[in-house]
Amino acid sequence: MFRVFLILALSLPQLAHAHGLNLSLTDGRDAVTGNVTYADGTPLSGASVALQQAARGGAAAEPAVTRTDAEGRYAFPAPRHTGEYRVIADDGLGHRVEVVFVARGDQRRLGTTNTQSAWSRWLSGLGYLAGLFGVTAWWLSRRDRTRIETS
Amino acid sequence: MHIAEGVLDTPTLLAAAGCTAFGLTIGLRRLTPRTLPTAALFAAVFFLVGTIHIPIGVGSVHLILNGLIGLLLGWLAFPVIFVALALQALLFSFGGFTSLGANTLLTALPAVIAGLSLRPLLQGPSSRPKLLIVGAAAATIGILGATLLAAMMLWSTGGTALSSLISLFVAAQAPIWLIEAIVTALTVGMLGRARPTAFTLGT
Repeated sequence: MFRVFLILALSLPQLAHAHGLNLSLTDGRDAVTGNVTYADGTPLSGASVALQQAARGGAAAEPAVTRTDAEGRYAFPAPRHTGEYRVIADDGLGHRVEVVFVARGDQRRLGTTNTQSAWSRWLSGLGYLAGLFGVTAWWLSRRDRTRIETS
Repeated sequence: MHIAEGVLDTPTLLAAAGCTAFGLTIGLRRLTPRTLPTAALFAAVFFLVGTIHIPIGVGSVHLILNGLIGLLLGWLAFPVIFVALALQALLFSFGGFTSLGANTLLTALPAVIAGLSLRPLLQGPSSRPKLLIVGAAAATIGILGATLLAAMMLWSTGGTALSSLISLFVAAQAPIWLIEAIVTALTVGMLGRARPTAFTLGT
């Protein structure tokens, strides 16, 4: 949990969207490192992580591929060229996260995470469902009333 | 179980979305003033349990309760699971909008199968052991069906052998299956006694 807050605290406002996965990334001088966790903070171990130069017009460059260790960490040698790169983590079971960053080799820390708290998202979801329930109930009652009136 | 965007290929996504649209059509026809409150309640339950992750096994899993939803709601499982998954994608970034059809299909189809196949057993008075067994069976059909469908979708996209996908999924879902079987059995055991007519909606 502490790590999630750490990522949150250190992340720049430039956040990509995660699909139930959080990926942190440090673009260092010698290496691109980071870790991948599930939404609840559990590390994603043994997942494939690919580093690839973002395609620009022509064919995309061959990605460098590695696997996360038991704590969800991964590392790549720093890309030789500056430019836009993407890091894609995939656990092979349908969870996937992708982060695009510009390689500059300057120790910036990027991360993807959802900044809204879980409570507020749960409440929003229940609110939407209650609204949907209300609209459907209103529609069904109107339909039944129309039927009675026309019959 | 949420398959993220960009994992499945387009033909698989389209085929799954087509099947989901079919299921949604049947389900929405069964939405009446009588079935609506139960449907809304279980949409909320499914939305909540799907976002609470339990860190066990090889990954991070969550309750699905699709067997219970199938028993209680029949074909209504499709619209109920569809809206709940859409909200999970919107608010929690679980799954995704392009894979919404696939995720709805792999969760709701086993639910409908569990509901339609097990409901005849619940007609008339049922003893408590029978209710518990039917509940556990519904959870089993729900989880096993979702597991097989997810494995088949990933396999049809290519890259991994079906057998290894199935064994990976079974390893990941085995602990949740146990919890789900207990929760579903207890709920069915309680509801079957208190309201035996609960298992008649959406057929």
